[in-house]
Amino acid sequence: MTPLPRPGKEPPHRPNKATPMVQRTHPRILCVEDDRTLARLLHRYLTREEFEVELAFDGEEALARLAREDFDLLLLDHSLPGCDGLEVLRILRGRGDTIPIIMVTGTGSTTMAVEAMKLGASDYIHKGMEGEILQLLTMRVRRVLAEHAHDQAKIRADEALRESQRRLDLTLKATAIGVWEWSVVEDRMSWDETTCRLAGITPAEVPRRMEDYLTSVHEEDRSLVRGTLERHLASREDFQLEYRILRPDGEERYVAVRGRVVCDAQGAPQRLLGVCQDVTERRLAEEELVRQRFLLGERLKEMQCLYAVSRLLEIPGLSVRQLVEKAADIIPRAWTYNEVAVARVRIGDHEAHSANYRDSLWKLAFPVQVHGRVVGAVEVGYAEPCPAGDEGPFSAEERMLLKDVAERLGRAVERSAAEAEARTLRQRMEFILAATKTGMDIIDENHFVRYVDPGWGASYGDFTGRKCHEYFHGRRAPCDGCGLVKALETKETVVYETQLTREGDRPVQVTTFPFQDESGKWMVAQVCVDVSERKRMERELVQAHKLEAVGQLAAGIAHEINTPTQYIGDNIRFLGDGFADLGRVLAHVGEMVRAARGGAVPPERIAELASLLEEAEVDYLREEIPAAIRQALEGIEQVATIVRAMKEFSHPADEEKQPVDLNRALRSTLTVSRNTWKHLAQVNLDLEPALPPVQGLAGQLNQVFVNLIVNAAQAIAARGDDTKKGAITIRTRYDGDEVEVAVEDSGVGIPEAVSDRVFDPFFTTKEVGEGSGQGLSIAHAIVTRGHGGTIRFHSTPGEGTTFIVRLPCEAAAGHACCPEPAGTEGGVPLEVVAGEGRAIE
Amino acid sequence: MPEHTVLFVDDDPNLLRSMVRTLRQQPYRLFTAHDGREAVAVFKAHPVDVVVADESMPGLSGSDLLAWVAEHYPDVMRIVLTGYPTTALAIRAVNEGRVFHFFTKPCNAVELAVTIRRALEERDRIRKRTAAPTAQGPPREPSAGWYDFTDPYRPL
Repeated sequence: MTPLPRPGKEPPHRPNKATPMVQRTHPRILCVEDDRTLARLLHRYLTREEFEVELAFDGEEALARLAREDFDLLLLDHSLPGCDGLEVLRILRGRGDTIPIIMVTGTGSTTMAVEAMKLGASDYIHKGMEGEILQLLTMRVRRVLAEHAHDQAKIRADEALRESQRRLDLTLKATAIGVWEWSVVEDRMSWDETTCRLAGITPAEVPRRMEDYLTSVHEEDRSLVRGTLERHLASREDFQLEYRILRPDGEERYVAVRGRVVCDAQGAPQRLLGVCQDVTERRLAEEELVRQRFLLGERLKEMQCLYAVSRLLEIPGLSVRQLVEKAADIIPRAWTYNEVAVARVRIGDHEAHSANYRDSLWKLAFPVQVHGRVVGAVEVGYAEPCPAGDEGPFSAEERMLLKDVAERLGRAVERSAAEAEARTLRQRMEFILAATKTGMDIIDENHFVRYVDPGWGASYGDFTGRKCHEYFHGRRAPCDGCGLVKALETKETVVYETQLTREGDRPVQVTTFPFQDESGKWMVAQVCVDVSERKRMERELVQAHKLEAVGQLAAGIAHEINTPTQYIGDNIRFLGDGFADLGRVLAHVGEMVRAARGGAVPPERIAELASLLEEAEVDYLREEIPAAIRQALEGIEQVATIVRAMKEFSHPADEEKQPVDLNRALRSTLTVSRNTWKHLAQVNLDLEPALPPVQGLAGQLNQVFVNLIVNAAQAIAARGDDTKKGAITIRTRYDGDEVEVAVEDSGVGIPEAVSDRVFDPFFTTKEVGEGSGQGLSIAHAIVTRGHGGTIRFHSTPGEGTTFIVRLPCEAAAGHACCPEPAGTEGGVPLEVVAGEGRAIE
Repeated sequence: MPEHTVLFVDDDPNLLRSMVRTLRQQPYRLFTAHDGREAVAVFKAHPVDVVVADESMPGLSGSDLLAWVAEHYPDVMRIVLTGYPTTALAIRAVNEGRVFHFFTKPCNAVELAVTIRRALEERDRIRKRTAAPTAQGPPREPSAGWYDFTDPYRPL
């Protein structure tokens, strides 16, 4: 026999039979048949019937394949070479293979069939006629497969049931769920172990009757349990219940019970099935949760109360009266039984109650202290009796809260008092500022304005929070020479004077004080003091001094005017007299002319004329009259010049600043002061012709120049040298920014010892009555404060002194915040080159 | 030749010229000087009966000059003619200069002329009372020098 090729595909290799990889759709049959013709026939037939068929031709092969592969059915021929069908069957069952097997035999021995069935074959087919076996085979195979599938399902269901039981046991054990049953009919209880354990008893101690059991239920819950049982036995509905039991050892446990009423066919309750569980831990946790929630709510109320009280602290300007009222309103809400809580607050003379206040039995009170002194109290009470079972109406937290509230109220009162005081101080300060026309602001180191007093605010708008250079000038950086910047840099007080252009050039002195706030940050306070009055007095002083200066000049001026007046008058009188004499001569000449027309002129008339001519000094008159006229005109011009110069010199004191031609001012000043220097000194003028005008007060500037010129003349006079005239040189220069006027003399010079006092008021080296000592002091004030310029001098004793005045060309008035950098106190630079000599003033 | 000499001192030449015109017919010689230095020179060169001096002059002031005259020529009548009268000046003129009269500019020319005449009469009276020749000695002819800087008087 040659082996037949294996039909179908070689099955895929299966590493482990127990884990089939392929889900089959057709039952897979191994057909073991040594008759190859029959085997092929079976194969074809079964394949057509939608089975997957593998062939094996002997017992060994079949066993080997069955060990390797999954089959759903084994079609096993009995007579096989070697190991026969029964042997194969025995071996298979011996190794635990439960594959359904149909034995096929040609011999038809009943003994063999019984043996096969005993060995675990599922069916037995006799192969008689071909068609017969084939017809039978399909049916048998299907039946065997179905039976086997059924058996397998049953086995799996049994396993699942066992598993389920096992799991339930585990679950009951794990969750400590007890199971019990009460036979209603017999009134008999049966409990499982867990239930016993739960109740703290042994199975032997299980109560027989329900009433026995109920004695172990907490007495407060007993009626609940009994009622529930009765109700549900009547309604036959499931129930669920939690109650407390008392164990024999005295321990109290919570149990949760679920029950079901089981009825007979007539609907009469037979049994009560139940499960029970110990829920003590859960109940305790729940109770703890509730308690925690309650406590949280209490703390929340307390926090809200403290917050509300704290908010009272933030209300600006709250009076003690208002504080007391609001506190009395707020406090009761924080208490546990807030609906019956009442509060009373007393601070000093103020007392307030909460709306529902009445005197109560339960009270809690704390004193309110202000600066360590008891000034009142805060009291909380309950308007109703304490609930039974409450260990006391006030918790420790509430005591703490009341203490906190009392402390906070004390602080609020302190603060209220401090605020009231601060308010009073501030009002007073602002009143003083307003009354003295003083402005004040406070600026931080970043140049932000922190405070503006109301007076300033009214004039300039509230510029708090702005930078002053931005607010006033739209600049991004501070103005040049700003006192604020200087004060912050040097940490020293800066004082300067300026005019408030927005207030009609009101003159002010700005004092910038640097200071550190509580946190150590540098700030400045700018105090702007009105100096109108001082300026007025200064003006009056200047004016008074002007009168003095004019008085000094008056001698010269009077001389300069009165002398020409004298000779003008004399000359005119001379002209009058001379004309009278000439008139007589002319009259005589006229008579002679008439006589000559009438004939001859008598000789005595000619003699008379000659006599008249001599008497009238006609030759003299002809010589002197033109001279007298000319000199009279000179005198008139001299008077006119002085009067003009006087007019220019003495401008009114309060005029507006105007462009002043300094060259012209110097000339007129020289004219009016001519008498003071004309006998002493040669005046040299070195004036810049293209000198731009300066913005100034001509009258005051003339006053400065006359002081310098008179001083120069006096310094020359002080040399005591009558034989040689001194020199006064007056120069003007322009350097693009400033105009400079220098008055240089060849006088005695200023001794070094007094050089730093030259500009001091009332300082003089002159005799009493010769000078008030105000001249240079006032000149200094006019130049620096009045015109934003400088005045300095240098002097060489024995050789002379030069005073130099510099004036800005565009003397624009600055604003308070950035004035022209005028000199601070005594800040005029002194350039002194001096040795021995006399001071010129 | 007139018996008397009057010296007029002022730093303003126009004023001197007008005085010369005004007083040209008066019976005395009129000398003029521009300042104290010239005046002193005249005194030293000529007998002077009356001196009329301004106050404000370069160098020696009017009151200084009159004080000097009062000291050196006490008989010479001294008259002040000032453009700016002050109390201090008046006191000094009286006390140190012991002046005969005190005029302020502008003054009436007739009044000035009359006062000068009265001063001359006073001067003559004093001279007669003392009955002694003056310390000045006989008048001398003016030297050529001072005509250069003063106006010549003009005799009647």
